[in-house]
Amino acid sequence: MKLLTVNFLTCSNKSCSSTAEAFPLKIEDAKLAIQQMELKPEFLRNIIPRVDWNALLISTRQLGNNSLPEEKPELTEESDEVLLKSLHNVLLETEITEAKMTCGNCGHIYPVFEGIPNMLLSEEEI
Amino acid sequence: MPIYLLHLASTHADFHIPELETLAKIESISYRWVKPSCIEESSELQENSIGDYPREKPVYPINHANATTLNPFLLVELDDDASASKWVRRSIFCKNIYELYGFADTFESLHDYLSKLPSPPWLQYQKDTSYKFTFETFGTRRTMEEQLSIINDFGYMKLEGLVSMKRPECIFTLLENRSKDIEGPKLYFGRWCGGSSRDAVDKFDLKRRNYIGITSFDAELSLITAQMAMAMPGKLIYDPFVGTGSFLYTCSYFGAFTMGSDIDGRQMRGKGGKSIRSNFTQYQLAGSFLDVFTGDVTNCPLRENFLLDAIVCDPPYGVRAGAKKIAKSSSGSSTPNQLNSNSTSHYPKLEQYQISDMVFDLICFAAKHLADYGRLVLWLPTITEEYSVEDIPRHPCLSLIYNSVQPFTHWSRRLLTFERLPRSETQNVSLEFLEKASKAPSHHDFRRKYFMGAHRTT
Repeated sequence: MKLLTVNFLTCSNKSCSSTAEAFPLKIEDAKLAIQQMELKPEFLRNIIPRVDWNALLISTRQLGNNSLPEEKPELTEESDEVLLKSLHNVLLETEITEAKMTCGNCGHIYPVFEGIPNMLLSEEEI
Repeated sequence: MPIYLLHLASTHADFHIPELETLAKIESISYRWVKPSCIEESSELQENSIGDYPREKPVYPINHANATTLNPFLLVELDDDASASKWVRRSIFCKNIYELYGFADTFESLHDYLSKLPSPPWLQYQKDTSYKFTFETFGTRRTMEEQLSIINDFGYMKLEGLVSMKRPECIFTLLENRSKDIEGPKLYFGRWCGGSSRDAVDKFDLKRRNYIGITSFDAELSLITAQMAMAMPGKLIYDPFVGTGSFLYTCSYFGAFTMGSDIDGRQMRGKGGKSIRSNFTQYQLAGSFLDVFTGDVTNCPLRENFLLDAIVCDPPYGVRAGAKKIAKSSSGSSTPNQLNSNSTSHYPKLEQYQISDMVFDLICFAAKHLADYGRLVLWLPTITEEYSVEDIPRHPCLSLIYNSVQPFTHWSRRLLTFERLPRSETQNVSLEFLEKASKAPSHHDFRRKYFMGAHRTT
């Protein structure tokens, strides 16, 4: 699972999803891998405005990465490649292969296994 | 403005115009349909079956019904060659586009018309341009000798450039239609301006796909699904019923980043090194794959304010999955319920969900998560006898822009394309009256009806 995707996911439990504690899910016991990908500036320009920057900073720090700027960068056609590359590296090339993601509200643990998170609730939680 | 001839595939006619209109939007092409029958019907053209069609003649917006499997030719007015080739370059249903020089029912009238043109459109290619002639025939064949003799009859074009079979700068094409079923002129003559992406149908052929499953979706229709979603570089597209990923590959093929989820994680993971991921590698599209996750659409883990450019899906309506279950129980292994409780993963309600309820949940999800003008592209099965337009799900924030049908014997599959209205226009829309349809739509209880129908016909 790419770090970008972590930024889109929250607790599946409807009573948690509106609470501040549920997002971002807390990442623990993570195994990381770097998967090289072709840089696609057009996609970054489109997707960065939709990223919750504060949540992203929290997630990257949980993984021990402090390379991102405090403020969300505004990407334009002229954005310099160093910035694009660092965003690309963090958001798309960083793969979480194994992890536990915990909801800060209800405590549900969502496992990530072989790079695929399981976001299903148990029968009782529905 | 010059007139161009589109040569379309003979499959899935109902999807041709929606595709071309969508491509015009993607590529910012302006066009006007031209109807050859209007030209033929006009009285001053009776003596000469070809008209001076381009400029003075009325141009009619074409009826969608005109593009049929029986009529693979469409005429259209475009700015220039560049627009023509750009328009169809990523098309699935268009084969080629030509600048039209003339059309007629006989060779005599075609040559009569072309040889008398005061300023022939091929003048600029007369001197130093290498060229060749090609033939497209329907309902007939032309031997090499006949082809040569036909080419010689075009001697009045006075082409002085070299003939090049491999890399001609200019390709003149005669499209000959001798099929009794195809309406319209028998002969079209023009200059080739561009090809399409129809070879992608072959590229994504399920027979050569590394990992497929029982619900893998036909290549051609997966490509049109991506087309209708306006998949292109920069976009993020999501399939909430991803299965073995059929739509992800085609959306990524057109440059979009793709993400999918499914309630059944086993299909996505695959086994023995074969999975959605290995298919992305096979197609060399791994650079456009975001992620898949196990998830339930009714308890969706995507955060509230997260926006997608398009949603594509073929919701599970129980036919193929149902067939699988029957096979299991007949072999005496276990019922679906026992399977669920024995498994470590959870398979909650969705299986028991009525497709009509699921479709309703889906459009509400789309209204929330689509960016302005983003598209929901949804396959919906309907029982042909019972279908009525009220079956199409509605939402005040979504506008239905296309409804194309793939007919089978007693049921049909519809590809519905919705566009998210801009939020500036829907801020005050009341969702209070948004309720599930009072009358059960024809896709309600689809699985039972499908098997009843199958029983009836056998």
